[in-house]
Amino acid sequence: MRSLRDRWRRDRVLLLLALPGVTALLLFHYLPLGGHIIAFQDFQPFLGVWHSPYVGFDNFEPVFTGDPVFLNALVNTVIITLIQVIFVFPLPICLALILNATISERLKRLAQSILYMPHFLSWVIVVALFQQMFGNGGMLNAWLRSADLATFQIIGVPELFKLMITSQVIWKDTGWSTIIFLAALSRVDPAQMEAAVVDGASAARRLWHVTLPAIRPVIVLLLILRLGDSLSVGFEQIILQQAQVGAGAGEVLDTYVYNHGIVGGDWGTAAAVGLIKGIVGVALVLGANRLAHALGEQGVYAK
Amino acid sequence: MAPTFSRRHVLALGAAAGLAPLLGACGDGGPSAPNGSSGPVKPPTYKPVTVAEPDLAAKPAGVSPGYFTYPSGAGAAAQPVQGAPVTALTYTYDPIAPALDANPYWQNLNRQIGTELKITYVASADYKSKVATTIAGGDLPDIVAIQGVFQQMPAMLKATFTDLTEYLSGDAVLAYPNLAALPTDAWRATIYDQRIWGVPVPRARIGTVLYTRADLLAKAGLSLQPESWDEFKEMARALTDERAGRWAFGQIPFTTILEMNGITGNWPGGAGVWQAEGGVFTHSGTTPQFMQALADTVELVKSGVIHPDHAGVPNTKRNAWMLAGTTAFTIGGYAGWGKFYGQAKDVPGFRLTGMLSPTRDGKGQRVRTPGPTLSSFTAIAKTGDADRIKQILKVLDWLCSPFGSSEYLALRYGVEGETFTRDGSDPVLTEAGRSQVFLPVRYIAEASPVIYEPGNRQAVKDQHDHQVAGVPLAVADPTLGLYSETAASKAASEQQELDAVLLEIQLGNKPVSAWQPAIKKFMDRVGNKIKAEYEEQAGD
Amino acid sequence: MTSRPAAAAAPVARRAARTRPRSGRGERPVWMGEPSKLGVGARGLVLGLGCLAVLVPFWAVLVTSIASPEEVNKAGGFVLWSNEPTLDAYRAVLSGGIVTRALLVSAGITVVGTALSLVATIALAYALSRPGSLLHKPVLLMTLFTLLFNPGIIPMYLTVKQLGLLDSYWALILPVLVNAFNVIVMRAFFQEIPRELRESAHIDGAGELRILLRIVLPLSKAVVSVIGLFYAVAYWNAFFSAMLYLQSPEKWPLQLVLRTYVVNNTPIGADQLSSSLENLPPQISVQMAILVISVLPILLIYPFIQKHFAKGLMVGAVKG
Repeated sequence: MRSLRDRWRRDRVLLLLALPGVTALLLFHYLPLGGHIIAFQDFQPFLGVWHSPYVGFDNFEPVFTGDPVFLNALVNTVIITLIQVIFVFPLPICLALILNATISERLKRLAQSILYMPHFLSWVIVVALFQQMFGNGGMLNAWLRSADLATFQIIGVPELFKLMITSQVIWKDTGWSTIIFLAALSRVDPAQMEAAVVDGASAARRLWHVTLPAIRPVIVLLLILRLGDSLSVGFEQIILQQAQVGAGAGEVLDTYVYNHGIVGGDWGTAAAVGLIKGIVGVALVLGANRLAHALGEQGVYAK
Repeated sequence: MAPTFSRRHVLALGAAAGLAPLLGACGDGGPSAPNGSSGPVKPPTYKPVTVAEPDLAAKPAGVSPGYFTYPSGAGAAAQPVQGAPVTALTYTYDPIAPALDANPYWQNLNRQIGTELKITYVASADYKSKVATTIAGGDLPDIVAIQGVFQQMPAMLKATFTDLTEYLSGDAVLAYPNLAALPTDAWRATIYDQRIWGVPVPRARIGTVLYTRADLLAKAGLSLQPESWDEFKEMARALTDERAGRWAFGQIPFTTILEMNGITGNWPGGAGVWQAEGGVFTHSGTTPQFMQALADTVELVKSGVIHPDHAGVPNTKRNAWMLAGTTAFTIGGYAGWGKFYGQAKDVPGFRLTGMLSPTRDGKGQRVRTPGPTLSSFTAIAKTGDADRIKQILKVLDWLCSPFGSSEYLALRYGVEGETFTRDGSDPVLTEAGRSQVFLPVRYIAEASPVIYEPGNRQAVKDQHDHQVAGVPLAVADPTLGLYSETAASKAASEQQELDAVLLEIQLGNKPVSAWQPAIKKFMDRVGNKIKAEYEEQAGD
Repeated sequence: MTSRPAAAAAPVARRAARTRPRSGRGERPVWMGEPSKLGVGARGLVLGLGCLAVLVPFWAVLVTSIASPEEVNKAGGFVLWSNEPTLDAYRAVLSGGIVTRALLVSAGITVVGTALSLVATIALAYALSRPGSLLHKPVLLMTLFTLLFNPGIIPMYLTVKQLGLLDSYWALILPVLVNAFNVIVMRAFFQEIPRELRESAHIDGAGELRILLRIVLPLSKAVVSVIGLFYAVAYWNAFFSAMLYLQSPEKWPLQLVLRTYVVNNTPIGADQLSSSLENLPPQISVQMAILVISVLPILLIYPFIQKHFAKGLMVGAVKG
């Protein structure tokens, strides 16, 4: 082990490079993070952090006592996260592979430019479009009705709610999420590819043995980061559509915080749930990272 | 006990004054505050200002005056208010206005008032966050619009804003004639801990309207005012033709069904749901009439007269359905009446009326849920400088100049020839003027509303008719002027849960019987405490 | 004084770029192999359907923004075809000059913010791409944890206020200067660059800064452009911070200005008493016009960024 002095001399440029970013993070993330103290307060803006009374763990009450309304929100959140990790996460990878395999550069760019557009629509618009197209009184059903065909019902069916919002997420963000994988795919080594072709490897084998290993670190990294966000699922999207099915099927953790904290000006509760989400996120990321190491992956950071 | 409103005080016009004040009587200067809420503090004395005689009178009390044309020969301008610029924080329901240097309307306003207005404003949807951070930051502008009720409201006001009681209570307000013309019930909502904390931005008392496409009903040969529940249901069925993509309603007319059962209140949100009799407060959700209303709702929803996508669409969409004739009704705030005409230019024969709630058996007394008395009130940041306070109040007084005055023209239309032109006596904004008048001075202070739809006599008459018929039916909200800390803090979260159960029942996901445990939980956790807090204050 | 590997890498990179098919004529690189008919068909079907699923709604957005009030009223919502297109909705939004001004503000914030963010992110990501360096792990974990804890809006406001940034455009840039997600992704890409390249440069006496600028960055155009796009879109779309930190509406960026047309859910001028005399464009047309105005700049810029996505192929060439 070198002495600290040597390491300082060796790495000082690196530290200097890190300085602007680290300063920004310290100032604008860690400094205000002290504000999480209000999770233990009956916080009132006019009293401020210094004068609001402390209430211990009162704001965590629904979490600790297992309030059924809270539990329902938690369960819905976890189910939606699972559905989305399984069905939504792999799609951009597949799409990136398809685009990457498209030979015509012009066609590829065109498809890409079209597919990423929905990302820029706000959820309000996406939901409105969806209702107009697939609603019970929407365009498709109106047409079916006028043609004397059986109509279908997606909106307002509690059992279909999670699938409905998942398909909306797929439509909106698959194209956009593709670009990071396309960047990763650009690193696939053409020489290795050529070698594989020369060796007579089939397209499937080339995909499995050359392409996927090349982008695997990025996939694992993004998956771990996604897991850290497990307890947040599309707040805006869901709050817009919650009233179609009611809270039983439509309440998630973020809407719970909104309905029980923000709406009533209850800053303490919102901070308390934020704190819990953060702690769970840290645990999940560290756990997933450890798992990645066990499987021989780099993960977010090395061992 | 009859299932209707025997427990309520329905104070029709001319009925003997009971325990609750007649909501519509906000401005008649009669015996005030019988519910004792305002106790020691005297609300500002009411003294109306009329510049021009209305075409349709402001009677019975609480009804807005109606004007077919803009009164010509407006009064002379008041004295400008000299003094240092006034900074303000408020909200808006409009897009933003051009900056001062590109806004002749604003420049003219500053010139005429004699005091420069510097206004910071955000969309109303973001306003709560803006106010909370501004208060937490501790650097308030001179005046702040307070919208809604905050936690620990009395303490917050005391710590942050100026007590205006000595300037406005009783006859003191007469120093500001336009403020004295604001209705007493609006002032009542600015009083906390027996002190007056701001100047209200008043609203018409008629409240939420069941907007009715009168032309569609007429075409179907239906009465514009069903008298009983049966007739109401029949009407709804007659307006529904699923194959043609037509339904009667764009949302569940829950308030109508409640009123038909003799109770008032706004759901979801639970505003104005407390009833009082002899000092005893009752939450209307605990009454058998409420259970009946739930059963009626389920019946109506099952009969298929409501648009199948009614749940979870924004109100703009429901309004669009009504404009398109997809539905015959929409429910909305009274302030929207004029805008429907603006949007329905191309709908042939379009006519809008308001429908009152029938009674269950077609007999007896109807009731109506009144709207909030104010949109917000404007408070002055804490200062001990009496001259400054008086200057600011004079500015607010100027902003409350009445319909027909030249100040009103400057406030709503700006500069003749530049931001507006005339069509007869009616002012018409120019295209440039239209965006300049978005400056939200009207959400800082404004006079009591009037009915004025230039060039559309029918619309003025229909609105006035609806107010004349509806306002006297309004049942007083006994909590007006009372403050419950539990209601302002803990109740919000419980109310959300209650609303969630209500929605599941309305959608048919849960049986009507799910209401009993939900309302019991609400009462146990917060309701009984709120009841006690209200009863204690009302007993003072 | 040019170091050897850096000098070597550049021409290779240029050569690699040259050999890539640039046009749509579809020269197939050798490594792609012979495509199967089934594969091509399936791919075409997926892409075709995907594009259709995007284009139809966008078409509806566009047509609704130019449809006449009568057509909108008849449809009760989105319109798929307009016989009498009108630009009234655009006129309504653009009148008064506020939107044009806000566009410039947004463009300025986006350009300056993205540039600063990229510099800070690249620097931090590079520093973090060297395991074993001084303070490496604490700084990495510190960066990572900012992703998981969200400071509340009131503490953020107080911080911005304390730093004297209220009512300044810096308040829209500095708090979001560095996004941990972007740092970590960029770091992962930097780490993929073969260690030998860096080490030989180091032996030749190149300093860290030189290695970053001459070797790492030229090999990372793809990820830099992707992260740059992420930042640009975030700056472009941000409105909440502007709402909290900017006092005067005339300083507002585009998205916040446009938000007042959308969230308030009232047609323009609904509250103005004279409204019934005037022909107002329908609310939904205005919303769609706003959408088109706010998305168009990004759609126009995208192709210029897109062409960088596929860069970085030289890595293999050097290694091979």
